[in-house]
Amino acid sequence: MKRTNSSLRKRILFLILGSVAVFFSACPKTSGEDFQSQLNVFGVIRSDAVQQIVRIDRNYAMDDTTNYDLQNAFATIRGDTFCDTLNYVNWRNFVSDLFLPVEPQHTYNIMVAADGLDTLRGETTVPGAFTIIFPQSGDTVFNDDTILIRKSKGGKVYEFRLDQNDTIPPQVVSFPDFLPDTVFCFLVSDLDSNMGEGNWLLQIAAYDSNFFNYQYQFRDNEYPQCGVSGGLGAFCSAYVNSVTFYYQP
Amino acid sequence: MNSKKALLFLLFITWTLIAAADLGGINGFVTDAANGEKLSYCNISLEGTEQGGVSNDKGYYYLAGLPAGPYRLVFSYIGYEPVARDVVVLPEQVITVNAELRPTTIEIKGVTATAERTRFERTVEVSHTTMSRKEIKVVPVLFEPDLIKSMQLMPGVMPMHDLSNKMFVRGGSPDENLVLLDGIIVYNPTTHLFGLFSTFNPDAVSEAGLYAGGFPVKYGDRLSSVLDVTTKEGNSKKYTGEASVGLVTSKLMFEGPIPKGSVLLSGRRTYFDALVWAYAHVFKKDVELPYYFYDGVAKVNFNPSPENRFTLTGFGGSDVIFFTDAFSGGTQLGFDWGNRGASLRWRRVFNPKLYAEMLGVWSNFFTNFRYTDDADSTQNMHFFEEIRSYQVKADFSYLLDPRHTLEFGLQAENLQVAERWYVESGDYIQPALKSNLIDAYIQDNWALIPPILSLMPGLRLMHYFVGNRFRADPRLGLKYLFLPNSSFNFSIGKYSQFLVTLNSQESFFSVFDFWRPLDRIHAPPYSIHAIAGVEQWIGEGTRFTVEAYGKKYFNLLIPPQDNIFFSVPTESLDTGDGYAFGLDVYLKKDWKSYFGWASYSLGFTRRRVGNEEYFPGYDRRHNLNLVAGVVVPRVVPLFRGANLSLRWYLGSGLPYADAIGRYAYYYYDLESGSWEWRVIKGPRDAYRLPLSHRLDAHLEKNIRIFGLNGSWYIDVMNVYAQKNTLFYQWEWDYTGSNYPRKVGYSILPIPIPSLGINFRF
Repeated sequence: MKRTNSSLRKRILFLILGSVAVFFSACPKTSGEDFQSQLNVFGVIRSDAVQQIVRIDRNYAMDDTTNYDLQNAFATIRGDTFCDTLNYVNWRNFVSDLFLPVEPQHTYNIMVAADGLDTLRGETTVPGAFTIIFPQSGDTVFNDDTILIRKSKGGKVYEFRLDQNDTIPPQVVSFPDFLPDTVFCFLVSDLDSNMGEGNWLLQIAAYDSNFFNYQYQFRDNEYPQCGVSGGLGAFCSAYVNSVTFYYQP
Repeated sequence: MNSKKALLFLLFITWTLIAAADLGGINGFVTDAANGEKLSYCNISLEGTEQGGVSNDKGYYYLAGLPAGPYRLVFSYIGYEPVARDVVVLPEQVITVNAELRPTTIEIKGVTATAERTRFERTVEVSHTTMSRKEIKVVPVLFEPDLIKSMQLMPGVMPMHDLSNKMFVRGGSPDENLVLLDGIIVYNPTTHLFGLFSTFNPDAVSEAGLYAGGFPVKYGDRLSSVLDVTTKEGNSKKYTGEASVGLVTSKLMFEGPIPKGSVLLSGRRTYFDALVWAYAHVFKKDVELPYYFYDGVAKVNFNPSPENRFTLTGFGGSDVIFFTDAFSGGTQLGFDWGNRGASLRWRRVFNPKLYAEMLGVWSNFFTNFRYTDDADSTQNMHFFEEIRSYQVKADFSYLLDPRHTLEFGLQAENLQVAERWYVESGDYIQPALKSNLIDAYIQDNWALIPPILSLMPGLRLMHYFVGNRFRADPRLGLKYLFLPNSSFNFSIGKYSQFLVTLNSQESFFSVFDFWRPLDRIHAPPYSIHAIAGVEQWIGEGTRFTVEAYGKKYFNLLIPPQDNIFFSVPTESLDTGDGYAFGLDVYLKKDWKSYFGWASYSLGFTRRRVGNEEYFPGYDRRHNLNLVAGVVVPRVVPLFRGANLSLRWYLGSGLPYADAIGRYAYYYYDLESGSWEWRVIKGPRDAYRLPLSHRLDAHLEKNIRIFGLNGSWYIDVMNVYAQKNTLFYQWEWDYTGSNYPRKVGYSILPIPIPSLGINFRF
């Protein structure tokens, strides 16, 4: 009788131990993934800019608590006829020393190097020059008029900036260009429904496909790499045209 | 020599036929004398003989091959007084003896062969559990009893979170479950209160049976499981009813006899909207709660003769949101959705051996969105989508001989999915997606070595007209009683599905699914189930099963993980496959003064889409449910005699994708140069949420008020305020250190009490 009880106890013990072993061996484990630090650059070189600004940063692990440490990064912008080094000024901004002539349909390159990080390289081709068909300088524009531009070659996003002698904050609107037409048009009233009568400066910037991809095509859960390699971010360009007109509501 | 053998064989056949000519039989139905409900697996014996039988799941029985002569026929069923009838069996005749058994609380000596024992010995079924209306109503839940929430306590069934009303069965997603209400397909069973409640009013439910896998060939067009809900027949003896008032809904159920039949009516509705409306009018407050839901079941049974019964069932329910001043005066915004369905069933006993049920079914799920602007009709908009199916079915059961019962049937289905936009500028009507499906099946319930070894081979043939696809699903079930109280159960089979959903099944909150018929491009999804298990007969009222399962999926159509709406056509769904395997353990005990069960599930689920293989968001490794009910003893004042039931749940964490890195994302704005932190997420299943657990309680006490019997109940969900993490979010402090903080959110962080009162009349 004692032997039977002992055998039963052993069986129960084995059953319990087996169950515990199954339970713990099957417990799901967190696998995680290694994080790799890379340079993160965002720069838009503009045809109307006196100095070009590029933001240089890196990505961080979620638990990384270090402060900004790329003040000594080395960055250059190179065109057909120049090569200039960018200098750290504040926050994450690096600025060119010289006036860099940014020409339509020309290609420019950037290179950024920092200690302990892969070197980042980028390239952008400036959108082609475009013309503003209406309004012409000095035209009087009414609320239901249509602004008409002949599209830029390579322009993928158009940004419209309305300014009235810095008296009020400028109105800025952007339109991605998804249509194959050669002209781009929209109502004046779409720019700013509260425009006052007077002279206005309309500045139109055509951005390249790197900018378009970064701002509009970027998919979640992917590091953006728009015109750059060896890191993340975007190196973009814009061609800018402007016109002054008189607005009469 | 050969001619001698042939002669002997001929003589044997002739003798057999002559002997058979002296044989007769008895058939009939066994019902509850109190309300006329069927009694399944009732034991029927012929006193003084070894012969006897058992009623089937419809309460029908047939004893064949009885030598002519007088017999004493005894019907016995646990919880009922046995009924004895003296009958005389005549040669070549079958006499019909229907029996009505009276319920009793007295233990009847001699009733040993119970329905449970009969099921244990004779029925080849794996992964099948049932839940009665009584059991559904004592499980502690949020606000009020709910069938699906109760079924989540069964082995192999897992919820996604504390309030989830979806059933993830053995690694299958909810759209792989076939849900039937009296034969009506319910496409979206968990739509009430944004997914908190199922569309089944438990007052109208008689029983719910769940096949967690290995389901018989009479069910088809789903990959994982079958939930077959049967509503009450309706009391054919007297008029009775129930009414209940809870925190969320009020319910009313009425049943009673009609000439040659019975009727049942049941309905419920929320009344928050009415209470808030009354409050706003009385206290002149500007508040409204423009939401309510309702549902109802109507059932009529008509028995023109003992051989014929017609049953008409209708059910419907809807959730309604309606804002009268949605955005400004004169604008209305309305949104409603719901299930509707009807079936007409004709039960016919053609002859004692051939039992049949013919069924015509209409089923529908609709969504309706409407916006109107009285001031500007150009803004008016109306969106409507529905899935609608018509089915005709015929199921036959034929007793070939005492060892073979054939089940066979035919089914034809027409399915349509329609989508319409009505706008001022012109209506847009998406061409309806249509499909037709014809099925035929046959299955043999074969007692190979009674009662030791039983087999259940079956085959389901399907022709899907879109793309002209033909599929054959063979299935095999086996039961082997290797010891008098121990059975080995096995099942293997193929399961095809011709319906897909466009929304991800992994989302935490999805009120309903967007169903589409399979297109002509994709191959039909199918799965292979292999299940082996042991059932141990421990005693009356006790059930213990252990089952191991493996399930392989092929041709799955998997929506993107973040797709919670219907924005993609079926043609753009990803094709994948996967597998699931695991172990389910189930122990159930039911005594007079207490009951309880424990269900534990160990599961591994993997999916593969392209080159990505992952644990889906509902892959829960361990799932444990403990349910216990007890009658409060006399020593406890105030609550003595009340029924207290507790439910404790423990589940391991679900997989999720966590952020592995952050970077600054810049908006190129000339003026502000604004930016924000963004994260990059790791693999979708690289991390696991923490273990979750919870205790719920239900206390119910019978009372008598205004001459009526009734009861009050109190439920408390999450008694000890466990904060089970539903998801994590990274929060940023742009003004401070800029370092992100990981914050976990719980859907049920505090105890939620609810109460109600029931009356029976």
